[in-house]
Amino acid sequence: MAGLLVWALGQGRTAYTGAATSLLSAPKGANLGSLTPGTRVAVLKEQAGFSQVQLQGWSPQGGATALFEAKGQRVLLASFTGQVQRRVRGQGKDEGGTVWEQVEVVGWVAKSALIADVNTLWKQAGVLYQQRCSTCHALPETGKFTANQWPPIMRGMGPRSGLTAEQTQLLTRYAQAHAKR
Amino acid sequence: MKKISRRKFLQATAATAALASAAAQSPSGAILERSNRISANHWGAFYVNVRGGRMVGVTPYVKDAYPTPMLEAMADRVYAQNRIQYPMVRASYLRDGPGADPTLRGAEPFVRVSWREAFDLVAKELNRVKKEFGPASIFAGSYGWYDAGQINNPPVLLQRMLRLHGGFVGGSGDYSTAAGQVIMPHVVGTLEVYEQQTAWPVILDSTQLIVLWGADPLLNCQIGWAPADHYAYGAIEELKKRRGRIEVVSIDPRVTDTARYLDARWIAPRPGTDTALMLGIAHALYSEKRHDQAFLDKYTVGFARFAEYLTGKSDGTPKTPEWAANISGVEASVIRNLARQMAAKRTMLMGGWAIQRQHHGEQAHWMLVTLAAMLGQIGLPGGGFGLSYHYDSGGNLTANAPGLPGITSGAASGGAAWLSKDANAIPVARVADMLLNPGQPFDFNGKRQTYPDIKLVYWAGGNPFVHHQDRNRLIQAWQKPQTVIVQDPFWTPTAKFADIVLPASTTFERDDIAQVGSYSRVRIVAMKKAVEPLYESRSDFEIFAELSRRLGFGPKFTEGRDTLGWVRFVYGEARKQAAQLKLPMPDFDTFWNGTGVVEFPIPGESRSFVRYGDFRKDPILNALGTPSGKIEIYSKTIEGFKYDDCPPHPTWLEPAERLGSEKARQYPLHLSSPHPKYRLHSQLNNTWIRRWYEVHEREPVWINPVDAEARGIRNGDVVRLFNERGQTLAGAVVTDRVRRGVVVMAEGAWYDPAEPGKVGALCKHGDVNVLTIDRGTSKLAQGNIAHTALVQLEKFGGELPEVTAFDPPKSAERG
Repeated sequence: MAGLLVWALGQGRTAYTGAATSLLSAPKGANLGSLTPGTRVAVLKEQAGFSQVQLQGWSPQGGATALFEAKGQRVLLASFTGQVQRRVRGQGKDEGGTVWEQVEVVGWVAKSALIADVNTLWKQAGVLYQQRCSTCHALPETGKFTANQWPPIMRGMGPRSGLTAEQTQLLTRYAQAHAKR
Repeated sequence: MKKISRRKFLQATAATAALASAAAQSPSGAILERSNRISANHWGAFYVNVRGGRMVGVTPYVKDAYPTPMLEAMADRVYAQNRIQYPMVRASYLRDGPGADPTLRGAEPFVRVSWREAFDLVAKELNRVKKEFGPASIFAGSYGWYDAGQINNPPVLLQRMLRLHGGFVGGSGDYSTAAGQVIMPHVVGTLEVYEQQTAWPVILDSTQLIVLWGADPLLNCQIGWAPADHYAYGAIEELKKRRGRIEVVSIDPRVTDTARYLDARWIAPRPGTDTALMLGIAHALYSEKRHDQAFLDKYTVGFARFAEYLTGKSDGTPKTPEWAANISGVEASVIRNLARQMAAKRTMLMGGWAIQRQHHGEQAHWMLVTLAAMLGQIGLPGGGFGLSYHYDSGGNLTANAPGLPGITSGAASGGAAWLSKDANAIPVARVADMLLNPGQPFDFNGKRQTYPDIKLVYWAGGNPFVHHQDRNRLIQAWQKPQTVIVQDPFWTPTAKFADIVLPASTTFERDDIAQVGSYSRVRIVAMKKAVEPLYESRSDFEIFAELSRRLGFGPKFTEGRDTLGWVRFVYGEARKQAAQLKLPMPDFDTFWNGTGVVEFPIPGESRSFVRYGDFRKDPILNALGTPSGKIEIYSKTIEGFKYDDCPPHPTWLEPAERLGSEKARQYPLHLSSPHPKYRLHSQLNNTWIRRWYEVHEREPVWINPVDAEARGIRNGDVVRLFNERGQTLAGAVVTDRVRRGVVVMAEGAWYDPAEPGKVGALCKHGDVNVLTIDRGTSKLAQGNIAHTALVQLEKFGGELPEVTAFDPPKSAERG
């Protein structure tokens, strides 16, 4: 799915969140929200175990607290609870008529939360997916559902297969990254 | 292969009775040696009463206030006369090997073999077929309900083994909701059919009109995939007390148990015309401007395109109540009044699954959601629609509980990915089509794939020779593979059509664990072994573990755990989660050696849960999983598929067969085959409780007095139902609880051919699926269409043949 980000990320090196990660206002600063696992960021600078990162995505108008991968593509990259540094770079409509804003957000995360290769995360998630998602039914291919369909389906199924909230989030991102196009 | 030099055919009953008594000769315990350990299965949780080593019955779990009467069958099930006692092999297969005259399947006697010989035979054959034809020639879809338990899940264990072996062809979806679970993700972005419903307390407080559309919660909530919690019974009792305030309408060709109990208003359309009837209601709403345009604008897409169809602008046919009356047989005035009532009241449309188990069944659920959207009450307390009130007490209260994992088909060490141009999963109900048409293309939800060429079928814990449609077509299809392996506790009709039969133990003969309530998840229950495995049966886990060992990957299959080790492991995983949720859970030994139950608390917010409440409050942040994030009354995705049998908005499409069609002149009765009241599909048919409903030992068929009289049929007569697909006997129950022109015969009675193995044979017992059509709902979902069938019926005049459905097959001796 990373390929859907068609514009260049900021100057920094590309990295990914290896798990659900808190977004901070400054190193050890206030909590501004949370990045989901597997979210691509550009590392702008590093300081005392923290990385300043920039992430890019789309938010529906009236839904600035959620950042998705692309307009109309509800792969949740981050959700915000506090005042984030946010810049709107453009606008567009999805097929349902909802207006979306292309957004850039800057904040800080623990350096240890970042990984260089997102595939290492997907590999772990793939094993968990195989292990947990065929207790009641045959293992579904991730391509059975679209990126938009996976979150509600995981919400419904996750608790039945003994997934924690964090595992459900990870498997949602995993399934979305390998979803039906 | 060994030769049978002297084949001695023995009368089945005599032979097995002798063997059974021989096997049961070990000394039994004193009757004061007793236990009542906790266990559970699809029917709920209970204590298993054992006296002197013998299971004598079960006592419902103390917190199950509404246990099902079917619990009375459990002990009889364990000691059923048709338990498979030993591994057995079809006589000519044992002699001639794979491919031995397949037309003799279902007709030939079986030879007893040792477990060692059976394991060798199966392992060798799996290796041969993989080597000669590749893993895509092994079918392990193995659809079925088996029994509850997170470890002894036969289809999952089978696929776990075959994944490690190199691959297999599996199945996608199920027989219950195939159309619903494919169309709903396009419409509301999720499966819908298996999700929690607006809570019953909200319904009881807020709803003014409940429409049961082909739904019978009182009958169906007896059972669940996870052990049933039976919450719905208390809720429906409360509903009855509120009948002065809450009106109930049942739209169904029969008076269901729920409708009867609630004294619901009965509207009986012709079967298969639900979509037309809904369109008529929608037209009445639209033409009288009673629809909620503001809701449609804010929460849905595509209504304008649909409205052009509704009004006839796009196709020249306005879907007026008169138009709908002509198709459905429900008077236009009734349709108009229903529309007005729905719009005026807080209305909950409780849709069943029968309406999507029909030709073009996708349309019925899509149209039901569209109708609810026009009423504008989706996401309001007590309003909108629900597609799971009749399943495992949907609308019950979800506990604050950890989830209980289970053993899965994906072993931790993974398995080789297998590559094939063919589909590695087919829609489950296309199994006969697949066997008959290798290499042929089929469509499914936007994809075009090719049927694989299956050489080996392995079925564990399922019974396609009852649950699959068009029995005679299945018999022909079943003659295609070279080898058929069936693993089951009982001589099901499917086992009788196998080459190699492996005896599995029942739930009561092994340890396992389950979580009660698919939606409530209210308790975790130990499923303790109550009695030793009967005869030579083994647990499914042990069978697959041993086969895996012989195939060279035993440790990868077991991950070093035995059955109880797995039970302990999954309990431990649940306990880790419980700790995160700050819920107390005893350590495993305390749990297992103590009460064997952990109860979880019901949080207050579960009582006020409103499905789609969050979407209604904030449709931007809580957008649906559709492309638009809204309810899709018009789907551009489906438009892109260009399917002639599934257009991009809800549409009335003529089904293959229905009353009022040309074909109904020849076969003038519509056959409806709902879920049985005293079985779980085909399960428990082999127990004594079949006496509760059988007529002259045949499955009952409901027939309206007018239709009965026209054929000279009286209550209690044995009748023959037939069409060009097949014929079966049944016992007539003449009742005005079924609409004229419709006969109702529950699915699940065991197939019992008068001429075993022969295509077109008369079923002596009443397997309704000898009469149904084996065809997909549409290219979209490819679900079964069991409820779309016309038949004729006559009084059976011949000598009544003996029912042999529950006799083991004939056995032969190896000389």
